[in-house]
Amino acid sequence: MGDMGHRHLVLAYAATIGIHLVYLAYVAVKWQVAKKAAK
Amino acid sequence: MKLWRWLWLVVTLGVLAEGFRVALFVVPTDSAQGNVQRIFYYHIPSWAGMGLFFAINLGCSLVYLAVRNRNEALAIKADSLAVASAEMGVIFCFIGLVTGSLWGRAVWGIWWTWDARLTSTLVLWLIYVAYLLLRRFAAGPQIRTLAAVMAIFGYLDVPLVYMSTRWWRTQHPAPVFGGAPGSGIDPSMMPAVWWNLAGWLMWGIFVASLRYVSEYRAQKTEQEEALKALDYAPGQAQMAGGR
Repeated sequence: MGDMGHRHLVLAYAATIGIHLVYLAYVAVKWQVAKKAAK
Repeated sequence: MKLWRWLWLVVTLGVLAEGFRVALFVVPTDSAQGNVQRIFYYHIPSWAGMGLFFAINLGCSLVYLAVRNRNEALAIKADSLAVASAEMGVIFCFIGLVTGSLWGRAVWGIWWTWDARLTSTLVLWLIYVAYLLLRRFAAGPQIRTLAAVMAIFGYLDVPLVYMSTRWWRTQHPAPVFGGAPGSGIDPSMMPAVWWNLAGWLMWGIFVASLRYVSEYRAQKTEQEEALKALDYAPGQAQMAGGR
């Protein structure tokens, strides 16, 4: 396994954090749009 | 954003940072798999998050169906939370599939196999993606009712996913928690599980609460605009009411 295992570990952690951040950005956009529409 | 949300976010980020530190630098390395086993500490919270948010989606869908003709305010809240929890569940499910695939590639030598756990999970993800697409692109007054019914049928796959590694012994390993006698991980590894489980569930609750507020606002605005439109067209409203 060696290096390959390490690479997959790093990718798995990066993917988890990255996907959550992308979704957070989407939610932030939705938040702003809904706030603007409600005014 | 309200003060309690900021406080929740700060605590969540602290728990996640500690979870990251414990998972990578504190708990011992697995003797069989080496460091790649540490994927487990992000893989398991993803499934826990998926289970939690799809269960919330089910509960909200049931509440929506029960009160939609009697209590419109509660129905809008339930439906907004159903949307927010379905999206969060889909995100957690997707992360579980991705981290599982990366782990499988390192340990089994393959990215994917059509075994019982993987296939039932992929089907579950597709069901909830279809649910969200239905909500996004279909129109009409009955769409929320239809989505709620779909959510109830979709949830039937959750117990199937959970039991798949118990009923069928295919590629995916036997359950680590709640499996056969002797299953589980070494107690010295458990802190990494607890910290990350707490951190990612807190993160999910934070993001889903933001999404809930925006969805609720959007639905309320839509409802108010519809009522305004009725006020501006009294003749049409009368005609419709007179039939």
